[in-house]
This record gives sequence, structure tokens and C-alpha cells, in this order.
Amino acid sequence: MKTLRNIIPALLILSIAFVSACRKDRDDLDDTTVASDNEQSETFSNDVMNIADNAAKSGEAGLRTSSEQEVYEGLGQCATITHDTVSNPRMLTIDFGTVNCLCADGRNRRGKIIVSYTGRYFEIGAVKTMNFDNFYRNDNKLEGTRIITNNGLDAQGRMNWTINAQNMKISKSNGKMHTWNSVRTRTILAGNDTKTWTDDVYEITGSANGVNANGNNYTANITKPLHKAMSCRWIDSGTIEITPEGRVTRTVDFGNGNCDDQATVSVKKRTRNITLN
Amino acid sequence: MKTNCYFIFFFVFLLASCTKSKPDPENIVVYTVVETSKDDPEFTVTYSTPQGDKTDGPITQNSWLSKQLPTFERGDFVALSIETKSGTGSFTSSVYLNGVLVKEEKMDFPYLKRLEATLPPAY
Repeated sequence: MKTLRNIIPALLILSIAFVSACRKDRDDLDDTTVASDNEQSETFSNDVMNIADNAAKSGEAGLRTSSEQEVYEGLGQCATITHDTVSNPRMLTIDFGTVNCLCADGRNRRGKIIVSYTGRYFEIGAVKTMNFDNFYRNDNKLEGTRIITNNGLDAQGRMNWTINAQNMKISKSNGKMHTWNSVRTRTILAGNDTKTWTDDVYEITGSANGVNANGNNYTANITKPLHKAMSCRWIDSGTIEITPEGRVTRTVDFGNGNCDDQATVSVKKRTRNITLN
Repeated sequence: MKTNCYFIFFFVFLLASCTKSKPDPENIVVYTVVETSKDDPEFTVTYSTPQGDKTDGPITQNSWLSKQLPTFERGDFVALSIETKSGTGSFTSSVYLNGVLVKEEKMDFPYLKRLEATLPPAY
């Protein structure tokens, strides 16, 4: 009887600890702020890169160019493009105007993307710097500097670029903000020898750190290279491990190569689906 | 005793012959062409591949990067030439082996020299 009296409180304490641990996992999984913030920064960054790369037609800018029929849907008829080939480095300004313009991809944009560049897209050593002047996408404001350096070819003959994103900030329409710095390597896997950009395929690796919309610090590491086919609006495979300060690591998995807006966030053994922007 | 020695020799020989020989590393060749003037030329590029010469174009971009061409041999002769279809222009063309520059050639219209190189031996 005395033994039973000792066991019952012990069991109770164990149960509470177990339930509390489960609860913590669930809370961690329910709080997908850091994952969705990171995902938003990924898609926002890819978006502005695509806009800049497609803003100019051949011969006009040193970016990845396209034919008139293949203008990036985020650019559409919304932007006025100004190209200064006299200045050094050369400048490209993509101006969406001061009020929202509904672009062909269904997203509103306003403000300017300003790109300076020292060389052509496939020119080794060329540096492209992107800044933003009151630039908004769906009323989320993007600030910061992206410096893209052409590193040349790796041993497999694949061209790659380092993307250094400094003091990046998304100010959301709900008043919250997400800030981050990141260093990424973007390697072209296919499509480089054709004049169309829609068959380009890239692999992205690297890491980031920042403060999410809830004010928590986090680090993010790409643990399986992100796969981005330009024919698809979303990243279609790869994983990122995100660790908010003082909390368990969550893994964002972009899938197995199917072009869709679905990804999963996993915390320990629990998994939840998220829809990509 | 003698029989045992023969047996051991035979066994060692058998083992040695079973060791897989390392395949030769791939020699991946990549060509680049960068238009360096402010002109807007349309051009074609003809370059060596292990299967013979190949022509790409007309190219309207101001820089071009070939596919990776993986089955070259060390010592192979490679070449690239440019023909402008419209406009003029200046170009820098380069050939890389396993990511390392082998040769670079500046080409100014209308004297579009051919880029020619021999792939260096492995060191």
C-alpha cells in the first residue's frame, strides 16, 4: 500500500511532464511564423531576382534576358524600365509607379527596383547590386541590398553566383516586420545554352539568420539544395532547417520535385502542411 | 611447400586482377561568349564538341554559356568561332576545362578571330 502511495504521485508527475512535452511540440508546430517568414523571404527574393533578370531585353542589360513573348509575369505591363548604359557601373531602374499595379501573376507591386551591374549575366566576376526604393509586393515592403557575384564555373562546369543579402527587411501590411541577412550560392543546372529563360533550372544552397515577425531570432540552413525551375512559380524540392532561438529546429520540406504551392513543416515527428506564397 | 607458394602467388594475382581500375576523370569543357560593346548584335557560335562541330544561334543575348561537354580527352583540339548575323560588336570568348580557364580570345568585328586551344594534359 505504501509503495502504491509512492508510485501514484510519480506517475502523475511523469504524465504531466509527458503531456507538457507533447504540448510544447504541438505549440512549436502551430507556430509556423518563422517558417512562413523564411518562405516569404525566399519567394520575395526569387521574385525580385526574376524581375531584374527579365527587365531588359537582349543587348540592353547584362542580365539574363528573354524574348518579348517570355516576359516574366511579375513584370508584365506594370513596370517602366530605364537603362543607363553611360554610367559605370551601368544602372537599370524598374519602376512600378507609386500606386499598386496588378501584375500578370495576380500580385500588386509599386515602387522601384534599382540594379547596378558591372558585366553581363554569364560574365565571370560580374557584380550586380540590387536596391529597393519604396518597393512593395502585395503591400509588403522590401528593403535591403542584394549583391550578386558571378563566381565562374565549378569543377563540373556549372556556373554559379553568390548572393549576399544584407539588412533585408519585409515590413508586412499588418505592421509586423521580418529582418534577415543571408549568403546563398545559386548554381545553374540546365537551360543556360538556350535563349529562353523559362527552361533555366537552378540549385540554391546557403544559410541565413534574422528576426522573425514575432521578434524572435532564428538561423536557417539549407540542408538539401533548393531546386528552382524557372517554369515553376515555387521551389519544388529541397529542405531548410530553421532554428528559432531557444526552440527546437523545424524542417521545411519543399517536396519531391512536383511544381505546386505545397510544403511541409516538421518539428520532431509532427508534420504540418503549409501553402507557399 | 612449392605447391603452396604457387597457390599463394596465384591467389595474389587473382586478387590484384579483381581490383577495379579507377575510371578516367571526366574532362568537362564549357565555352562562354560575352558581348563587350554597347551594340546589339545577333550572332551564331560554332564550337567543337566530342561529336563534331556544333552551331548555336542566332543568339540575341549579350552573353552565352554552352552546355557542359563531358567526353573530351586531354590533348584534344577545341575551337570556337562567331559569325554576326546582324549588327556589329566585340566579343570575349573563352574555353574552360573542369572549371579552369584554358584560353580566352578577344574578337572585334569584323576581325572575328577563332578561339583555338589544345586541352592541357592532367597534372
